Amino acid sequence: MRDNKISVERKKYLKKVTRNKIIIFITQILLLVTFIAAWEICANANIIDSFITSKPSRILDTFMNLSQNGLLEHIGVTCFETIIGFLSGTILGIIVAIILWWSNFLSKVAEPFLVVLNSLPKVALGPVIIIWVGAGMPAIIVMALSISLIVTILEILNGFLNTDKEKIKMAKTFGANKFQILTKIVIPANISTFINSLKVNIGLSLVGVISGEFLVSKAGLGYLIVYGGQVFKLDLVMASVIILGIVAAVMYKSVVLLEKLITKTHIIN
Amino acid sequence: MSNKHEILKIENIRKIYQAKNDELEALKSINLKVNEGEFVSIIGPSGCGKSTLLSIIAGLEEKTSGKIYIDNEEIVGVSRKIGYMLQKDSLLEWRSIYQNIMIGLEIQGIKNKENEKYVKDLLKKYNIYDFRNKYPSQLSGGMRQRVALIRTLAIRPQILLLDEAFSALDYQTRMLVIKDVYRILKNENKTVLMVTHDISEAISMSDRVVVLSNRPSVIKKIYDINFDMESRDPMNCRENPKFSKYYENLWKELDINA
Repeated sequence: MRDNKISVERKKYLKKVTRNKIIIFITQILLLVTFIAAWEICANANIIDSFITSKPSRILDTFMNLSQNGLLEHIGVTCFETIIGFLSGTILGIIVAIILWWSNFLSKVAEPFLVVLNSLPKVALGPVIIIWVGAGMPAIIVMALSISLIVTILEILNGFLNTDKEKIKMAKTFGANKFQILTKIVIPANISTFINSLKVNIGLSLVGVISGEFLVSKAGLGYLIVYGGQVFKLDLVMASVIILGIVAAVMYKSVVLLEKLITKTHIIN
Repeated sequence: MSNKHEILKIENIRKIYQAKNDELEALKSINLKVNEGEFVSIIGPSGCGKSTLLSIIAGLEEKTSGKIYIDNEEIVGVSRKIGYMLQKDSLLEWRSIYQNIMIGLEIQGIKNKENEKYVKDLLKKYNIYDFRNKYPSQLSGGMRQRVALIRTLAIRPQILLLDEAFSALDYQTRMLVIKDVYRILKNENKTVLMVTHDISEAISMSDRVVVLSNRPSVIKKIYDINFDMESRDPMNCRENPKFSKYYENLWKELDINA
């Protein structure tokens, strides 16, 4: 609890902190505006070929006609695929990690396979997945899942294995069985591990979905980007990329928000 | 002391560790009897296996051979009659103090009205009740150790094992916590078996001090500590002239060569 009276030095310091924040924010906005303005001006003055680079005003037009050109629907498809891939990857990853934590034997057996699978670029499995699951949305979701799954398993297992040994010993002195150690010590001690893996997974699932859409889809932002590129509709490509950036940021922010919510109810500092 | 009830008996405890290229005999043969309400300390050169002995009694480690009896009944594995207090308090930072203290009862599935009342009485008796809804990070090191002790007492163990329970604390806190724990344990009339590397800690708290030999360990000697003073506590007995005599003897017995 801070004192109600704020000293002159403290005031000065706080002022300096806020001023720094404002300066950084203004610089960021300026940079963005300058970039967009330069782009627009150069395109209008024919310094750059707007057929290849598109230009901000035309991208804005594309945004404005969102409902008309079906962009909204494509956004929906990509978000849906990402969320499903993300959730299934995370849940499955946690389940496998629990099994491997439970059985030392299984985790020893699985170790080399996990290492190889982890370093394998999962996009390479794309054609195989399409043949097995069929072209379409399921293949895209499986792709997103396969990208996030192994990382989730490794990260969560690692977190589980690094749980404070003393806390586990403490539970054992009361005669705790393995299930009690898992639910009363290991899982609550790893809440931050879960959240970190959510943060990583949301980005990875998006990568999986977009590369899946590149390969097979008839809808989604990935599809729009490929389609727009093929018919040289650069306005559409640029608009899709920007939307993708926004979608990624919103999803990441939601996880951060969730984190704040959990840490607030979970641990009071 | 002769007509007191013998609560813990350790018979021929032996422990051999198996490693890849060698085996290591930690405990050769340990025999010990502890009476009800007695405070016994175990000291010995570092690496002599004194903590191993305590882990074996607690049922956390397997013994190679030997038997352990509580009230003439042999125990195997973790016994509910034993409470074990470790060096680190290991409070769970996501649980409130009250929830932390309840964890033993939860694990043993005996979280009922009667036990909850017992815990609440303990909390009130030892001035933790007002903190019960706080979280471990809000407590001082000494207070945390007191909570850890109450957590151990919550399951009403007959015998308490203390494994270097104070060595993680800084000197001043340690003195206070030792006094605090001693008072609580005497008050609750608990039987205590404590492992420590600190000779003065052992003398200041114990009725008897057991000295273990180097590995493979046997009991080298058992000292009776008797200050003949009323209201003895771990602080005031340090000023007793006998204290330094005991210290000298034990120091020689340990035969530490730097």
